[in-house]
Amino acid sequence: MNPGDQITGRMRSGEKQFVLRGYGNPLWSELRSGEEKREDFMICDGRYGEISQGSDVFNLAYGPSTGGLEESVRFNIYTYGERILSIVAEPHYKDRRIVMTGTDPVTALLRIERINGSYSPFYSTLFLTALESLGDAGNDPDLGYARILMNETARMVDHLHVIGRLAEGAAQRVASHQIFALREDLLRIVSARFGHRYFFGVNGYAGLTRKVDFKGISVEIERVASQFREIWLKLEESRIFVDRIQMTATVRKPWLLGPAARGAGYRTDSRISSNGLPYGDLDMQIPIHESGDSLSRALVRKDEIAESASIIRAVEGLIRQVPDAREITEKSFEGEYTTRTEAPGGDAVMWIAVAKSRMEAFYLRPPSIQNLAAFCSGISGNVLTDFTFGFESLGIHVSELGGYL
Amino acid sequence: MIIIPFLLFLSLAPVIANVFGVKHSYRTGTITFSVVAVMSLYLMLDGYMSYHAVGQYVAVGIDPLTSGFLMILSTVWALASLYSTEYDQNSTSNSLTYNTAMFAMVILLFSRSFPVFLSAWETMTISGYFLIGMRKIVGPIPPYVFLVYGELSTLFIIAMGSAIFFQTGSMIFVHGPYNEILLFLGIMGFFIKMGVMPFHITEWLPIAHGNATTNGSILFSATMTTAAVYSILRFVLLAEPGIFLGSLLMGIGAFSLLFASIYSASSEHVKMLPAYSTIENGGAMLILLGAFIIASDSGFPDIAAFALAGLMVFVLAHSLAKCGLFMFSGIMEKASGSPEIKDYHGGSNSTFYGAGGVLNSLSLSGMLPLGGGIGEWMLLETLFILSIIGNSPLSLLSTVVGAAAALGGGISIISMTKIFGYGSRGAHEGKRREGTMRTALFLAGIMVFLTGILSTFYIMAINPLVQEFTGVGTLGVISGLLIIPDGFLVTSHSPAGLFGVVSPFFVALFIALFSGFMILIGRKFRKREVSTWNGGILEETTLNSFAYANSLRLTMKRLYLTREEREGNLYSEKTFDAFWLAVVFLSRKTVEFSRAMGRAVMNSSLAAYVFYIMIAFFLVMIYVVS
Amino acid sequence: MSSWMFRGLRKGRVTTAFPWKPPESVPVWTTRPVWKGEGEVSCPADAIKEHRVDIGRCISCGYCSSAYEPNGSVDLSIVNGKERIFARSYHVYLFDAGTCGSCNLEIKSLTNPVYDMNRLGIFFASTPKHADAILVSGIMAEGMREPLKRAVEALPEPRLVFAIGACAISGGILGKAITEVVDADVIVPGCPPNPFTILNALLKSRGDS
Repeated sequence: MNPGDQITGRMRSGEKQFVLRGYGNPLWSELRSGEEKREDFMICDGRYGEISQGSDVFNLAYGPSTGGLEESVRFNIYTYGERILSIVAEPHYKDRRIVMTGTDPVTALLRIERINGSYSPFYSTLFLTALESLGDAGNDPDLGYARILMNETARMVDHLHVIGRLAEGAAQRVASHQIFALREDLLRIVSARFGHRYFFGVNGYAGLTRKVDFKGISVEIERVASQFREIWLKLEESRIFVDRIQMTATVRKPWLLGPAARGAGYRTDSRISSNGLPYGDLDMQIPIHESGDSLSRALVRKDEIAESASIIRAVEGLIRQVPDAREITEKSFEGEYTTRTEAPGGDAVMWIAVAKSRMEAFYLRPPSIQNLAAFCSGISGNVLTDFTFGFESLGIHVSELGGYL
Repeated sequence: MIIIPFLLFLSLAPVIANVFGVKHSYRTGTITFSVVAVMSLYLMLDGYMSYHAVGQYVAVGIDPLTSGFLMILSTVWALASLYSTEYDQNSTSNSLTYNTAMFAMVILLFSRSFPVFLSAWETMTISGYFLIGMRKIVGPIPPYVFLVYGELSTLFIIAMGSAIFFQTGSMIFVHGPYNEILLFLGIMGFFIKMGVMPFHITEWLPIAHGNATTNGSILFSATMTTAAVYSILRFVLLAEPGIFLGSLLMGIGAFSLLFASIYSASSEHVKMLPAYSTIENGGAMLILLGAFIIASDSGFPDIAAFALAGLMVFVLAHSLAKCGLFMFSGIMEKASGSPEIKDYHGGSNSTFYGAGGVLNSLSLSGMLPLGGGIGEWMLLETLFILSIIGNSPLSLLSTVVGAAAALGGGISIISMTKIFGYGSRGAHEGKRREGTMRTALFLAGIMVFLTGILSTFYIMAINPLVQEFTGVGTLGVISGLLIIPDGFLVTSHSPAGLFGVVSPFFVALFIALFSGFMILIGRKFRKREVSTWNGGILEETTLNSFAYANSLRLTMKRLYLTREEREGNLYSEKTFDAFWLAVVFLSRKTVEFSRAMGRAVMNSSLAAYVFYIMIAFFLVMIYVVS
Repeated sequence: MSSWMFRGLRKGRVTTAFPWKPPESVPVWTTRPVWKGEGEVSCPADAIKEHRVDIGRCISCGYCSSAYEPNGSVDLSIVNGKERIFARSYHVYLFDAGTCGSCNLEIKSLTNPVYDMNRLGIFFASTPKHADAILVSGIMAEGMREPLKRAVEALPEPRLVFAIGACAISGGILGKAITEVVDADVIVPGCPPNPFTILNALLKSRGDS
């Protein structure tokens, strides 16, 4: 039996990242008993947060479909009024149960692009890196740089979205509109160059499926980054904005990933140790902030927008000739491979097993798992108004929390 | 000559009717007090006065002040008795003490000498004590504390009476001026009965902890408070105090109003919440009383008349609405079997119940054009005027008191919407039924409504009463303006001229026309019923009443002494009345001390109580002999 | 505050002139691919039959680029039901039935200053009870079946149901279409449909030419 049959994610043990989900998993209790004392280790079994009880405590249900949340997710907010005692999140409502097992790699790639539209270049890169490794397609540096450029652009888009939502939640509507207008500018740059605003269908096996003109893209992107810098400086001046998001949803746990971890003082970024993309060729800064609250996470994202723009500038100069994608159907793939990357929300790990060019197993541990757990843990004790700040500052994508068949 | 004995006989009739059964006593009460109410209204309008003295110690009399208050109290009693015919059908002890207490209050209104006054006061207190003392009680502290407070008030009054006796050489009420400090001492006794902070424990303790019956609660909250206001007014009329007492009353009133409204908002007990609201309203009455004294003393009889008219509106609206609110909570408690508001899903789906509940609770939250709203408007107007005419300390005092009153009035909206909202939503009883209880509640609501919209006529009716105090009367307060005919506009005047106006009748008319118009338009459209939208799933979230006021508990942590506790995933949050904690501490210590004394001196387990009775008896003896 | 105003003035007008002028930027591969006249391709989404593209199935992947070319027109939607009563005030509720998140983001983009749907009298409602139309996106996830039924029931009449994106219309390559549960009055193809296409569909559905 493939050990993956019953796990729908991976967990971290030593070098590897694991997260287990689903009840009745034989590995679950085994791993838990051995590892639960480790502070840097989190097992997520599909339940987020804990139930609170007490004579006046009740469940303030929010979701799954509301005007306030962009995606369908249900929150059971346990409260006796005003104070959030604890939250239980139920992301399973929109679980799409995407079928991966038995599909051919082309269909698998198209489906993977649609696990989370915002992270599409990250996940397609993860999958293609694994596939290229299994198919011995070589390691073209130009393709690597092109993928870095795509990923960093997508990171900027996502960070702008998160900060825009946070500003909107904190009643900074002017700033939020300006940030969303910038995000639209960036998406139009992407659309003009890549033919699709979310990079769907662009990333291919050992190359790109389209001819993409990279010349001058960094200048356009830099313009967006500098305008954002200007907006942020004004936003930072607003005491209302800062007061609202400061000290809310504070979470400092060693198992945190991405901006949540870097906002809590943990120096972790899998771009440094990535086995897929040539980030090692670039001079990269990792922004760190210490407080672990919504403001710190926003600050990390703000710094990363500037950092991504400078990475894009660097890689544009390095790209010479990006190869065209090869037909996947011509190759026969065999074996398994694990890849990881730093998505905007944090470290993402993908493990694929392929036999006779058919997917045998597929596991993805997306960063939203940790981020949702971080939200449930950090928001306890805050007041109801802080819900939005906590949730938006973590940049959680519910779509990627579903399971795979 | 015949009037006083006749009224006394009518008030005594329900006590006697107990012989024929509980139900008959309440029925008799309903009828006789209705007659008393109508008669006293007539006597007040007529400005009827009479006075009879028997020997040196006994004197009774009637004047517009007496008949005005008698009208208010007997109206409430008639309603409460009507309510009781269905509410309490078999407890003779309850009906007997209830009827006795009412009779005692009637004597109190007529009394014109200290012995009569004190015996009435004591009878009222002891009846009240029996009302709760004969019921199941949670612990030893509530009856003990209640009795201590009750007798404490008597002691204060005795002290004032003795002092006045030494000053004037008469047991019969005579005009002052008295020493203000001594007068204040006596007024302290009335404070305690009114349950003004920090003596407010006497208000909610018997009702909430002593689990008093609804008619008992009405007696404690709606009418004993009113009787205490009457007593203060009576002595103010005799003594003509000055600005010192006025300021003191205003300060204490503001403090009481603000704190009580805050504690009322956080209260989850269906009777404790209205009881705190009484403390709040008591505060408002004290402010008006203080403003009246200050205005009289400073030579502004117009303003004094306006303040006194406001006080009378407040007293009437409060007595009726509080009576109605206790009926409302009684029906709710009976239907659901729990005293906690958070357990409620509505008391009944009767129309009378809903309409009565909303009118009474809105009046208590100070909404125009209901009686409570007019009273609150007059209170704030008085303070505005005082703040612009007075010297700077008076301006400062009026401003601070006005701010506290406005804030407290605002917070009272939370408590009133809470009790009405949670009490009327859904229903515990499946079947729709009206009955005597609901009818009485509805009548109280209608009266509160009429008190509001016809308050101009009420203010004109109390003209003889106000004239007795100020010599000016209330006719100057009422006028007309533009399309509003004479007699429908309440006006306030500062020395510079017209200050503010409100026409309760026209406010009501406007609301009625506007809502009628909206209903007329709305009828054109189809009505559609959809299920509650709760994120797309069927489960319904219920925001309980505890959560409704919890933002206050968290933001005013220091006042509520809010304690949030957690054990594992079990959470709890508690708030405390700081004054109550202090009293519990003191009474524990006193009980311990008395027990120790008792063992040493009398060697009896009832030592504390007997010891106390001995002292009280001793003091009374000294007083009588002197 | 004034600094925000100056920034706004300096930045100038960013709002599109659409629908009075053609859209400024169209992600070409979200528009209808048209056969160039030669070449054969196999469509991973089975959207191409006899050189005609079933636009409701097209997932905008561009894998047919060797034989097909996108026509660049944002007028893609098919409107089966129109309600002219929404011409001045149009409140829409966004319903996520199981998306990858990109359809939601494109729909929400309509409120940014670039598209600014409010200028056209279109607004988001926070509950279906206050909405005129429901914009459903994503495949029909099992858990969202009941909520979707309830949401459509909660809409007052007259009402319009939009199926937005290939997933909602046909299930795309991921699952089942929402039309299994509710009938769609308006379908807005694309994966995801770009904001201009969605805006165009909204305008058409209330009878604007």
